[in-house]
Amino acid sequence: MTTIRSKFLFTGLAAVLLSASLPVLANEAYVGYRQKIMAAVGGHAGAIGAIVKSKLPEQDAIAALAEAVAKTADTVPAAFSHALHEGATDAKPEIWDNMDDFLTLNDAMRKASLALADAARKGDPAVVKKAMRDFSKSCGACHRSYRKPKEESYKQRR
Amino acid sequence: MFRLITWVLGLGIACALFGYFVILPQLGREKSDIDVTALKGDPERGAYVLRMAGCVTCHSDGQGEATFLAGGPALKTPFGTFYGPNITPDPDHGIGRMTNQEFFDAVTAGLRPDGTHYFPAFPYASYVKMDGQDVVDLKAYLDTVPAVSKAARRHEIAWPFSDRSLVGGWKLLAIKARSIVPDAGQDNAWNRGMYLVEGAGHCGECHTDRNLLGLPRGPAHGGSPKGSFSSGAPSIAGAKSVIADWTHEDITFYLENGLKPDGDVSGGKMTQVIDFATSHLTGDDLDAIARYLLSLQTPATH
Repeated sequence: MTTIRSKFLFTGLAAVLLSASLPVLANEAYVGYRQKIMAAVGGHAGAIGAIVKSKLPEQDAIAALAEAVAKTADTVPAAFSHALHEGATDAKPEIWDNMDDFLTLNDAMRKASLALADAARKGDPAVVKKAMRDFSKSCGACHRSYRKPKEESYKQRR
Repeated sequence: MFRLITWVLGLGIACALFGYFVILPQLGREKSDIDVTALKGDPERGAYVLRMAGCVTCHSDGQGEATFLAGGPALKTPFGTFYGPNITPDPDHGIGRMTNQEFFDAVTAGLRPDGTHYFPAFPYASYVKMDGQDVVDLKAYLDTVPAVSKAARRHEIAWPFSDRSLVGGWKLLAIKARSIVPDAGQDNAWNRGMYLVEGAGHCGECHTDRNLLGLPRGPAHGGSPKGSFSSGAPSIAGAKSVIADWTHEDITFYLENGLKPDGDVSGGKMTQVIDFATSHLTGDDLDAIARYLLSLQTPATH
C-alpha cells in the first residue's frame, strides 16, 4: 500500500516537474526534433525524386526509402502531441485545434508512401509515376493547412 | 485672379472629362487583326489547351462535375478580390452564346462581347500571344463540358479600379508584345517553351513584379518581393532566381510532381498550378518549358 502510494506520489511529482520544466528545457528541443522529422521525410522524398527523375540504376532503393518515410510518419503523432507553435517554427497553431484532421493527413501520407513502395516493387513505371504524384500531393495536402506559407515562415525574419 | 483660377480649373475639368469620355473608350480596343472565323476547333486538342493555359485553377472551385469550370475561388489581389467566371456552355451564366471570334477576342484582347473590358486578372496580357488555333480548339472543348447554371460571383473591387473603362489605359501601357516571335537561333523545343511560359502558361502574371498600377516592373519572371504590390511569387529567372541551380530534370519533375530537389513540396498558389495545369502536360512540353527556363538563368559568377 505504502509503496503504491509512494509510487503515485513519485510519478505525480515527476509529472509536475516535467510539465513545469518542459517549457523551459524542452520546447526548443521539441521544435527542433519535429523539424528534423520533417527534414527526414523530405530527405527520403528528395532521394526518391533523384532516382526517378534521372532514372538512376537504384530502382530497388525506392521501396526502401518510401518505407522509411512510412516509419518516420509513425513518429509524427507523438512528436506533435505538445502544442508548441511559437518561436522558430512554421507549425500553425491550427494543428492543435484540428488534431484529428492533422493525424488523418499524416496517416494518408504514410499510406501514400507505402503505396509508392508497393508500386516501386512491382516496377510498372506508369504506376510508380502515379504513386509518386499521389505521395507528393499527400505532403502538400497537410502543409496547405498546417504549415505557414513561405512568406510567413520564421526563416524570413533572419 | 479669381477668374483666372476658375478658367484654369474649368479647363482642367473639361480636359479630364474629354479624356475620360472621348479618348479613354478608344484605348486598349485593338482587336487582334486575326480573323478566326474560318478555323475549326478540335475539342480533344482543346482539352489539352485548357491545361496549357491553366484555366482550371481560377475557373473551378472544386473538382466535381457540378463545379468544374463553373466559377473559381477568390483571387485576392491588392486591387480587390476577383472570382473567375463560369466558362461552361451555359447560355445564361456561362459562355455558351459566344462565337469563336468573340471567344478569341475575349481571351487574346480582353474584350467582352459587349465591347467593354475584362479586368486584367484574366491574364489576356499573356494570352494575347496565343495561337488562334489553340484558342478555337479550347472553345470547341469548352462547348463539350457539362453546362452548369450558376451565376458568376461579383468581383469585390474598390473604386477606381472597379471602373472597366480605365482598363483600356492599362492595356495600352501593359501590353507590349502581341505575339511570340520565334527565335531562329534556338531550336523548336526552346521556342515551344517560350510559347508555353510567356503565352499560354502566363507564368509572368505572378512571377513578374508589379507596380501600383499593376503594370509589370523589373525583370521578367524576376519575382515579386514580399510586401510589394504583387503576388509574392519567387524569382524564376536572372540574378535572384530560386531555380538557378536546378537541373533540367529538377524542373520537369517539379512541374509534374510538385516535389523540389530538396524533397520539399510546392506551396501557395503554385500547388494548384501544378495540380490543375502543369502535371497534365506531356513530357515533351515539360522538356520545352525546362529548356526555355534554363536559358533564363544567370550562370553563377563566383
